Amino acid sequence: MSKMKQPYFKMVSVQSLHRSDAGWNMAGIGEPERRVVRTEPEVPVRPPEPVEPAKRPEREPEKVP
Amino acid sequence: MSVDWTHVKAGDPIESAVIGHRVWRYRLGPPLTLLSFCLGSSRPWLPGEVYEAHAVPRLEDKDVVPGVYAFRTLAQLRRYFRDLPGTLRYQCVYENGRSNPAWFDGVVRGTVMLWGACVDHRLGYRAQFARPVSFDEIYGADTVNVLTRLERMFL
Repeated sequence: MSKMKQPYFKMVSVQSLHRSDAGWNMAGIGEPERRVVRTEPEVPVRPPEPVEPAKRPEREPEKVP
Repeated sequence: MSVDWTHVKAGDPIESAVIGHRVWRYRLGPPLTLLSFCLGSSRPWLPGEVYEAHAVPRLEDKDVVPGVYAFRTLAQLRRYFRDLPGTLRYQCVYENGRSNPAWFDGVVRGTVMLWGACVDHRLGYRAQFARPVSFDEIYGADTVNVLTRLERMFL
C-alpha cells in the first residue's frame, strides 16, 4: 500500500489551536499587566501608530468577448 | 453597550477605549458571517451590535481566558500571524465539513475598538466589549465583494 500524505487538517484539533472564545489563546498577547476600565468614545479614533496602507484585493478586468 | 460600573473596583484606572489589531474569519453564507478567528467559536459578530465577551475579563483569569482579543500594534499581530494567507489551511480543520464551527471561507485583518473591563497584556488586550473599526487585509473566497460588504455592514 502506498504511503499517502495525510491532509493537514487531520493532524490538528480545534482545541489545540485556540482556547478562548474571542480570539487567540493568551500566549499570543503576552502576560497580563494590569486591569483597566475603558469607556467607549463617541467618535472612533485611529491607532496612533502609522498603519500600513490597506491591502485591498483588485477586481479582475472584465473579459471582452 | 456601556460599562457596567458594578464590575469596577476601587482603584481601577478609568481610561478611554483603545484600538487594537485582530483577525476574523468569514463565511460567505448567505448570510455573510463574520466570526472570531478562534476556531472553536461559531458565535458571529453582528452588524450594528456590540460584541461582548462571554465573561468579564479579570487579571487573575487562568486556563480559558475570556475577552475579545487584539494586539497592540500591527507589528505584533504580524509576528503572531506570520503567514496570514497560510491560515486558510485551517479552513477545513475537521472532516465533517460545514456542520463544524471551525470552517470558514476566508480571513480578514483589521482594527477593533475595545472597551469595558479590560486587561492590558504585554502585547495586546482582552476586553469586555468590541466593535470593528476597519478591515484592512483579506484572503480567501470572493475577497473584493466580501470586503465591500463587510465595510457596509459593520463600519
